[in-house]
Amino acid sequence: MKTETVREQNVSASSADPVSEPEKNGREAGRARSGLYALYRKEMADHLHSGRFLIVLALILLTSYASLYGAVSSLSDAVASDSDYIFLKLFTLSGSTIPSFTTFIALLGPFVGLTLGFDAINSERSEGTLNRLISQPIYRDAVINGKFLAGATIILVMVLSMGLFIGAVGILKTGIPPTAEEVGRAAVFLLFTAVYICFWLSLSILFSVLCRHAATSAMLGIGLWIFFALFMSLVASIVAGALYPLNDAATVGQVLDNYECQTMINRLSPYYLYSEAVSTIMDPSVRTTNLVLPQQLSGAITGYLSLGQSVLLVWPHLTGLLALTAVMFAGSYIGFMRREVRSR
Amino acid sequence: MPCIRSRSSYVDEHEPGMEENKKMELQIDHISKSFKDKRAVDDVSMTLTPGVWGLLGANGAGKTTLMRMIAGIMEPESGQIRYDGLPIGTLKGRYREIFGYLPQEFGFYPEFTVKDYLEYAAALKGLPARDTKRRIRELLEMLSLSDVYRKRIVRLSGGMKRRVGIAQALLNEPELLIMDEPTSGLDPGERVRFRNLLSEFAKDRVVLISTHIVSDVEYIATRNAVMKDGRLIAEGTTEELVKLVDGKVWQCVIPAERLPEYERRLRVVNLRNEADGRVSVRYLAESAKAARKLYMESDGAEENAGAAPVPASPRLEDLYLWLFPQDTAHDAAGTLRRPGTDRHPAAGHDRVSGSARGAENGGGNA
Repeated sequence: MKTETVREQNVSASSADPVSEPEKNGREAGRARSGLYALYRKEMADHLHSGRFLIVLALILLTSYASLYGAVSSLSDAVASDSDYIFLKLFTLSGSTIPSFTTFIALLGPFVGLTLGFDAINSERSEGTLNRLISQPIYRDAVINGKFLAGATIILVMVLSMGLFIGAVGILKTGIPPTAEEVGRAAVFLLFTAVYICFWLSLSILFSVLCRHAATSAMLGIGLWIFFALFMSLVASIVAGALYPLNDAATVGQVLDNYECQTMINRLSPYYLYSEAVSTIMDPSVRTTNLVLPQQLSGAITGYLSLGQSVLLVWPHLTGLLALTAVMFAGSYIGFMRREVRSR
Repeated sequence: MPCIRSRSSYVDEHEPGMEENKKMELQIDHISKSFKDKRAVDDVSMTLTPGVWGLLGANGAGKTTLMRMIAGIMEPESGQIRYDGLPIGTLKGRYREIFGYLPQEFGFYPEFTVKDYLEYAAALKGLPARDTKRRIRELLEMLSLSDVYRKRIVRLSGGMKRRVGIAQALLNEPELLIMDEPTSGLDPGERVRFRNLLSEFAKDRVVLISTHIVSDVEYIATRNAVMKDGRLIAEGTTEELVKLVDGKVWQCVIPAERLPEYERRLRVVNLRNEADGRVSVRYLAESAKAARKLYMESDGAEENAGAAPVPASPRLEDLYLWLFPQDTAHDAAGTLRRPGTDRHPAAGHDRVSGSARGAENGGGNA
């Protein structure tokens, strides 16, 4: 009975309102966009002015420069054995004691993502600003969308700047301009890096939705980061060893099973996915990401893969990383929308 | 001189068509909300019409939860809130656009100045850029914030922060304004200015203020609603509500040394030290008979110098203390009553007090 009354009122109210429904919806969408844009701009400004972000940026630039220095110092030795794709070597070569740029980014990239998102929502809750924010004429999801979009923009700009920095300094040092394919490979590498760091951003936002305190969400993020970077391969090897034990009498089939099991488990880790994809993209001589048997190699001509073929090889890695990012963001979105905003 | 424009002038400019068939009625229809084992709001129904509405109640009465549901921050478990007949959930952004809200606990971004903050709030509310500066200037002047315009909010005093919060709630000249404890932290002068501002603002708008400072709404509220334990226990104009305690408020003048006994036996709501050393006591009692009986009992003998109780004209504060006897008891035990001492140094000063014992003499729900 009550529902009917409400519906009647709805009908009478909308028929009395001279503004047409599409116009209302358009106005609604306009309002939502302006709210999202205001939030996005505020978040961007917050990131760019925060000391925390500037420290992380300085750290990343410092490591970029260090890795570039290492790459340039060992470039002449590397070129002596293989003089192709010199521009890409700036990203992948490591010095005697300094890891390569790609290794640095695989390790430190998550730190950037975590820094940008670990207190995105819980700090708003604890500071009491979320209350007011969601009582404004904006859609509630604009809050979380705005935060993610601002973080992702910062990541994109940062990654692009790093790539340009390495490229520019590398060209100045070597005096050799990159080929179009090298530029393409570097662009795909930067895209992978941005997606990889965005995964960590969405994961940290998820923790900030789930955890009440920023410290807890930061610890969870750092814990996972260390686990994926250092311990995942250990876990994979233990699990594979338990499932497919290798002893002196192990057959080729058992060795293959063990290896495949390890790879499968490792590929659950975004760190491994990223590292594998990047090493494939940045090294055209990599022809497969799986185990190759001697009989498969017989008759094969040694050579480089084209950019398109390399991208085909790492396509599953890209979709995997994107899917992981989307799942984490969906989790934070649902968590944020469903959770009631209470007083501090 | 800043002025408050009529609501219709603002809305006409920006939302053609929204003015049609406006009744400006917020209907709260049997809404309830629980938190774990606590029933925070229990089957509350009321219809808010233009004017200032005072929402009174002790701490934990459910005022904030009710306001958060009206603000659309919380969903009621049951029941519905409608604005001009439409459920607020279906109005979405359009509802919040005509709506201003000042939460009880109000956080600020530490890096924001007053200017940054108000501009950000205006952007979120979708205010056109050409109106934003003018409106912010008006509000800053109205709320005496012009001098701190470029100061960081975290460096402002509590009262100033509260005024910044009030300014953001008024930015879009809302037709429905919800304010949760707006006067906490304001000095008396600011409170009076704020009340006057609100009175003027509420001419053709719905304004709901929750407070437990009764004087904040006593003079400006068109109607009041009183909540207790999540339920709405009384609703009406100040005059109508005050009638509920008609004949229950008494006054007498007693010697100062007898005050502890009075405080113990009676439900004292106000004391005033007279110049002759005696104390004027205002207290609540069910009836004339009960008041007389209590007076006799507490005096112990007819020859006592105390004067007989006479009925006093009730105020909203008396109703509040009648409805919330535990608060009176708490005040008496925790803040004002000093066992073993009975000093009233400032003759002529009013002070609210109470008696724990007095609670047994009344305080039933209206």
